[in-house]
Amino acid sequence: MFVPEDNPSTRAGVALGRQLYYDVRMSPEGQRACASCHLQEYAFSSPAVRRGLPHINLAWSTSFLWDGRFEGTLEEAMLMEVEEFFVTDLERLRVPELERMFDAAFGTPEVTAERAAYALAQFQRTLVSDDSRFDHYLDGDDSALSESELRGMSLFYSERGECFHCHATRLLTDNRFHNIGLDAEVTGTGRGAVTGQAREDGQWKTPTLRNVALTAPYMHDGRFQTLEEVVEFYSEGVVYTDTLDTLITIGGFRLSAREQADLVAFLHSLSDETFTTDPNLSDPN
Amino acid sequence: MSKRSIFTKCIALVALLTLWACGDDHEPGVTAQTTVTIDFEHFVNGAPVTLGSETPYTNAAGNSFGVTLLRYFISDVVLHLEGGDTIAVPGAHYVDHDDPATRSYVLDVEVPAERLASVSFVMGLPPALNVSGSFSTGPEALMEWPEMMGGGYHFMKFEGRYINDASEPFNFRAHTGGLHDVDYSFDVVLDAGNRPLPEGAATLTVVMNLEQWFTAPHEWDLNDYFTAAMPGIMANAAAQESLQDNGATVFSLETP
Repeated sequence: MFVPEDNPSTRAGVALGRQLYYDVRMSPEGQRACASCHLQEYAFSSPAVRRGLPHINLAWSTSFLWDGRFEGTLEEAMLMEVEEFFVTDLERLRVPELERMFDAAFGTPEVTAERAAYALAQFQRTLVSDDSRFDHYLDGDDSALSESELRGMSLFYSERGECFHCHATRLLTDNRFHNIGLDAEVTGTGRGAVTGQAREDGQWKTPTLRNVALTAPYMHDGRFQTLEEVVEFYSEGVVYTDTLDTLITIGGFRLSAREQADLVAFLHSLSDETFTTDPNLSDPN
Repeated sequence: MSKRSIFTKCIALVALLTLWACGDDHEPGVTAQTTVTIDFEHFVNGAPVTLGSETPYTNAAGNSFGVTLLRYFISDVVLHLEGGDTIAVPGAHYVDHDDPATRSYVLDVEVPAERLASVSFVMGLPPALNVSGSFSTGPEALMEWPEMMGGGYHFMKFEGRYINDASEPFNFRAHTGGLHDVDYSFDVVLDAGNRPLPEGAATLTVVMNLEQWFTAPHEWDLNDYFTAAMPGIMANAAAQESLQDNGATVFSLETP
C-alpha cells in the first residue's frame, strides 16, 4: 500500500474522509455522495450502477476507472472526484461541524478541495477486504472451503480455467488491462481509446474478484447479471479479435457444467462479511 | 639562457606534467574500475522482435508465430575476469520487453576494468530466491506461480499467437517456472572473448533469441503444446524440462 508522505493516515483524517464519503453535501445539488453508488452491503458497489467499479482495496491501485483514464495516487483520484465528478461546492462544506473535523484532521478549519480529497483518500485506505473464507483457507483453515469450492479453486489456479494470471495476488487483480473477448468490434474502445494504441483496443481493467458475488452487474458495461453468465461467457462466448489477450483461449475455455458450477461456488467464497458489515466503514451519521 | 630556450623548457615542463597527470589517473597498484550495465535485447530469427498480434515469424517446426508479451527473471549474475577473479551480483532482475527501464540492469558493484572472460547468470530464479512472497509489490509480484503448482514465481512469461494445424490463430503461452519441488531454472554462461572492459562505464548486451526456445535439442511444434484441451504448459513437467534444455542456446552476448 502506497501512502504519500504528505498524507499519513490519522484517526481524525479517516473520520473526516468517512463523513465526506457518506455526505450528500459533496454534490452541488446536495443529493449524491460516494456512498450513493458505493453501498457497503454490496462491497461498495451498487446493483443499480452498470459501469462502476467497487471500492475495494483501491489503496493498491494507481489507475482508476475501467479504461484507466485516470492514473495517479489515490489523493489525485479523489481530487478528481471532488473537482470534476462531483464538482463540489466547497461552501456547502463550510459548516461548523465539518470545519471542526477539518481542523482536527489538518490543524486548521480551512476547507479546501485538496483537503477533502486527502481525507477521502485516507478513508479509502481503510476499505480493505482480506477476510473471506478463501483468506481463511490460505491462512491454514482447511475446512474453510467446501469440496465444490476447492474444485473451483483448483480450476481457477490452472491454465484450463486461466483466471489467476489476471486476477492475481491476494488482491485478485493485476490492476492491468486486457481484452477478454467480449466484443467483435473493439476499434477505439477501452484502454486503446485512452492511449491511442491500437493494440490496446478492447482492453478493460481487471476488476478485483474480492466480494465478486456482491458486485453485480459484471463487465465494464454491466452486461452480465450473474456469475453464472460470466463463467458461461468465458466457457463458450469468447469472441476473437486481433487484440484478444493471449491468456484467453480462443474459442473459449470449454468448461463442463460441473466445472462452471464449481468455479461459481469458489467465487462465492471470496465474499468478505467482515468488510460488508464493519461498523467502522458504515455511514457515521 | 635565451628567451626562446626558457620558453621551450617551460613548454616541455608543462607537457611533462600534463603527460604525468593524464598518463595514469590511478595510484600505483590500484586498478581502474568500471560500472557494468547489462542491456537486454530480444530477437527473433536475427532481428529485434516486434510485439503484436500478427504472426510474422517462423519456428524450426514451420509454425508461423508472433509475440505479444515477454517477461522474465534472470538472477545471480557473475562476471568472470580473464585472470580468474569473479564478481558476483546476487539477486534477481526482472525484465519486461514492454518496459524499457527493465531492459537495463546496472550492476550494483564496482568492477575492475580488466578483460572479461565470460558472464554467467541463472535464467529464472534459483530455489533460494524462488520463494512465495519475496516480491510483494510491483510487476515482479505479478509473476507469482500458483501455490498448488509449488508456489514461487514464473521464471518467464513468453506469449504470442501461432497458426495451428487448422490454419486458425491460436494463443500460446510458454510460461516457465519451478513445478512443485523440481527446479527448472538453469545456468547460462556466455563467452565474452576476453574483451577489455572500458574504464568508467561498460555496457554488455544479452540477447534472448526467442525462436531458440522452440528449436533444439527439442523442436517444438506448437500444435503439440497449446491446444483447446490444454492451452498452457505450466503443469507440464516434460514441457518445462524441454524448454530448460532448449534454453542452452537461447542467449548470446555482445561485448563493448
